[in-house]
Amino acid sequence: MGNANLEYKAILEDRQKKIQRKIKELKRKEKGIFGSRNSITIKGLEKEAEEIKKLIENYEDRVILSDTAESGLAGLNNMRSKRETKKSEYQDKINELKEIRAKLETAKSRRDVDKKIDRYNKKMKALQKSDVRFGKVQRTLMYPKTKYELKKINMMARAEGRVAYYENRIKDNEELKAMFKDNLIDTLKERVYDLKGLYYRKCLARSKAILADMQDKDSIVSYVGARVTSIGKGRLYEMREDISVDYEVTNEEEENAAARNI
Amino acid sequence: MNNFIKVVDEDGKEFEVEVIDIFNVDGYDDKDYILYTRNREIDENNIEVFVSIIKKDGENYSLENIEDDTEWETVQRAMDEMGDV
Repeated sequence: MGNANLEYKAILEDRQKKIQRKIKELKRKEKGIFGSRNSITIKGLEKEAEEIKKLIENYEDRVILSDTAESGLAGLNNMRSKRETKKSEYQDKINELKEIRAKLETAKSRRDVDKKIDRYNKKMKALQKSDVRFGKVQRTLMYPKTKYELKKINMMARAEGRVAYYENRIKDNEELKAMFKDNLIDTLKERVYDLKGLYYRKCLARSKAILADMQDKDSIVSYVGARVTSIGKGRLYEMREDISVDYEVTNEEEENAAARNI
Repeated sequence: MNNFIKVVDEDGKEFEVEVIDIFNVDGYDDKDYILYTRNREIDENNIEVFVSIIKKDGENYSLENIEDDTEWETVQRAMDEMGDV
């Protein structure tokens, strides 16, 4: 595993942190007048964060540079490896000296050992500083192509974010439309059936009143003429049932129908 | 409540009919129509029925023929729609 991969991972993690900070900031502002615009941006950033997370998880499969750059990275990796080995040796030495110091009895001897420990500590610091410099050089070598890769991810994520945002809006709108449509149609149906029902009951009530009048013993019903037709037995049965039921239209029903005002 | 009424024909002969419905028709709102039967089967599925216009004269009624063909077509359509209510 080369140190260049770790530097690559560090670049990605820096970008990831930036994205998370931006998302947090935008979410805070989301409720403002630019809320919807922020929402689109947030969607895009969230998508980008997902992609970068995948890259971080597979950082060893980092972007491949040109041959020259790769050989430069490899050279720096070697140098850093050697420095790691050196640092390890120095640390062992420091630990050894500390053990020796612990056993010494005179102040002078302990000061002598302290001086040696200091020298090794300085060497360690120098190695760490050069390590940081090598890391920066490696990052510089990797940055252009990595930045290009990140830029591509950013643009794709923003486009996907816009699509996702508008897909959600469309979906929300369609759900709202369907709800509204269902409600509106149901409301209308209810009103129409109410009115139809009321009208039917009124008609039936009137029919029964006329029938009752015709049945009055003091009434004479004369047959003069008629049109003849036929009716299915089932239908006839239903119509008989209807006229046999006592429907009474109350004033309240009439008022309610008037109040709905259709 | 039974739906039968006694009807007298022009010869003074009385007979009973069963009233199926009394209704109005759009376009002829000033008229009441009566649908009635003597329960005579035309075939195993259908019953003969009559449709007349109800005319009231004082306390008495007369059941009159629907002379106008257009009116009769409208009445028939209304009868077809009755099942939808």
